Amino acid sequence: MKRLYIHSASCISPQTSDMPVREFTPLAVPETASLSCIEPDYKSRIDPKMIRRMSRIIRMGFYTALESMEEAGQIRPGAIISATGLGCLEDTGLFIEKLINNREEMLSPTAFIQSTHNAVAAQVALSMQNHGYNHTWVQGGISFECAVEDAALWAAEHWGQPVLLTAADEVTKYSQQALQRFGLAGSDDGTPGITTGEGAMSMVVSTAKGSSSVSIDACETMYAPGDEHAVLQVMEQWIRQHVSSDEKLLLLNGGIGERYINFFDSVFSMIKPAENIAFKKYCGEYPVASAFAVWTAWKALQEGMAPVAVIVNRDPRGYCSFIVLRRC
Amino acid sequence: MNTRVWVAGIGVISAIGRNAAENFAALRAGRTGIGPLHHLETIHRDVFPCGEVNLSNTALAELAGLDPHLPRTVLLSMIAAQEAFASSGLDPGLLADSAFISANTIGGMDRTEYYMHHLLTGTDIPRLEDVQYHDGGAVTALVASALGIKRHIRTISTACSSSANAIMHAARMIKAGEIDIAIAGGADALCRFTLNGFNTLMILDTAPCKPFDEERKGLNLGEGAGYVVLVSDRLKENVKTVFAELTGYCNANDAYHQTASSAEGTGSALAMEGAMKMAGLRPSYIGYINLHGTGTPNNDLSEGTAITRIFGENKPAVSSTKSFTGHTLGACGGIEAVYSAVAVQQGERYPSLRFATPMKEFELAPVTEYAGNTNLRHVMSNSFGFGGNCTSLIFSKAE
Repeated sequence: MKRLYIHSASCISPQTSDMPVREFTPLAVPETASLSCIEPDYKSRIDPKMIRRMSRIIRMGFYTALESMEEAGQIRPGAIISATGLGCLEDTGLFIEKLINNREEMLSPTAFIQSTHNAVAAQVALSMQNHGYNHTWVQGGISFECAVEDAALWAAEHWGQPVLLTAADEVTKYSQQALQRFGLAGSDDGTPGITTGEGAMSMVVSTAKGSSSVSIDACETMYAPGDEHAVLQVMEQWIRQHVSSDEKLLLLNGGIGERYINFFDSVFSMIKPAENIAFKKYCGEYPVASAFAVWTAWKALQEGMAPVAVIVNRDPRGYCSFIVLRRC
Repeated sequence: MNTRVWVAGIGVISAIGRNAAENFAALRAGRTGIGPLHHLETIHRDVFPCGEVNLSNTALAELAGLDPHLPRTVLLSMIAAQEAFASSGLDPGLLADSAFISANTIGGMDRTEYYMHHLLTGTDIPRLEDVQYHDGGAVTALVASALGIKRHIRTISTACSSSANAIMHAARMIKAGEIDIAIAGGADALCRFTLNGFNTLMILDTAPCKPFDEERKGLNLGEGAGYVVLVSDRLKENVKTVFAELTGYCNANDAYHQTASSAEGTGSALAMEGAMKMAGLRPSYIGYINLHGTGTPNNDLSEGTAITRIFGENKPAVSSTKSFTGHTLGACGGIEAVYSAVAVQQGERYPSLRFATPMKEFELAPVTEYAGNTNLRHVMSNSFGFGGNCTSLIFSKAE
């Protein structure tokens, strides 16, 4: 892919966003719980009337989009590309709940309207009267990576024009309950599991360096459920192709608890990172968790933790991704 | 970057047929697929006619070669994607490095509804299998796995323009040299979620829809799947049939309202103009437009206004095949791309059904009779969706 320079980034996560990466705190919550975002004072950027009308995920995604565009110098993006693994779950759940409880009668349209996957990208376009390219990617644990690849493609077709990349997923009572039943999230009866999470992240990228100091140099994905051997083979190729053995690397690994422990052991021996962060300790497991990792890497590189960051993510559905960022 | 993009395969399942041959037979004969629901369980069964694929999940699963407990969208998607690839005549060994770029808006919602029903009413134990494939990405991943595609798996969800965007994305990947073959399009099954959702918006017609008619009352929902196989120049010689060339595409946003289109059709005009600019075509070169044409007062006014502004006195023939299939949401861009590619290949135009009275706002009457042997060079296919997402594709006669 064409190198993308990051001009700004904004994130809403369970972490306080102005904290240096070294001071991020693993959130000590029981495995039965999910990590919730620390939400900002939305009124600082969004009209209160609009805030009331928006669902939480739209609010979070929209806020990060506004902040990142503002920090990139009030840019007007040529393209708006968004990602979400599960879409607007709160409103989806609400509409189904009413549909079942009211036996398909006397329903109101609000939840249905806000349940569409492209609601965040549409809201951004609508609020700034942006008629440009507008896309929403939905691919489980590699939704954000699909958006990054599309951004790189679009940015190569439109040299120098800025792209707004945005990603968001939310936890709801129904999604958490289903994950507990799947044995993915921990349960009250003592069944161990992983801590789930949520978050929104937006960034402005382009092929022009400008004053940017961090670039995304590679983004690779694959889907191979259950086939550890194949995943490791491909991972080895990606590492050979995109990083050199004498680079001082920061690894952001998507392992969580005991999950993928053998896989990440193999990755460590291939990459030999100087620094290592298991990023899901800070954000939990959710489809676009790698967007949190990219934001963390962008911060960490600027804070001087390393010149290169490699993000390796796995998710329970069989997706695997590999992203490289460099200080430039 | 210089390769052209060719349509080398087609696959479609809809209310008017379970494969391409059945679909085109119905289009040529003017036989609608819109009627009463037989399979979807809903209290609205006798109220809203729909374009339902008249096969049970068991029958669909048999055609797809998949488990009948999978979401209906997966079954529909597999049937059409399989047909599309088979029709290309390409070696299945090439699938591993191909891309599957698909679209849907509801994912596994039909199964989620059962899960939630049991969860909320306590009538039965909610089965986890029913929510396992809730997300749209899971639908694509399942079909990709069944086809043998691992690397390039992508799902787009931009409401009713989703599968037109999937085709556009596949073409961009081919032009960028990332892939040589893509199966691109989309699928959506009927479910209570969307039927009730559109009902709350009060845009469903209780009779079969009448796109672009002064008396139009709304849309009929439909279901199905449509895929094209796109290939680069490098593989053009290896395919059985080159149906058409994809010469233009454009994605633009109306930026007007979350669910309604602007009266002037800002987004749709930008999409149509952008696609023609890319193809290097003046409006007079477009011989036929397969309209988005949902039959809602709002869409048809907006789309017609944009067409009138762009094409002026020389409007091409237009029609809405949603009068046959209903509005298949995430599948319509794919289904209508198949119709448009074959229209330009065969030089034929499909009618709009039930059109009687022209709209008073402009002079734009859809064609109501099938026409074959026309000298068609370029066909435009429009797909517009919630969130202002507008996409136009142009299929040209393969030279």
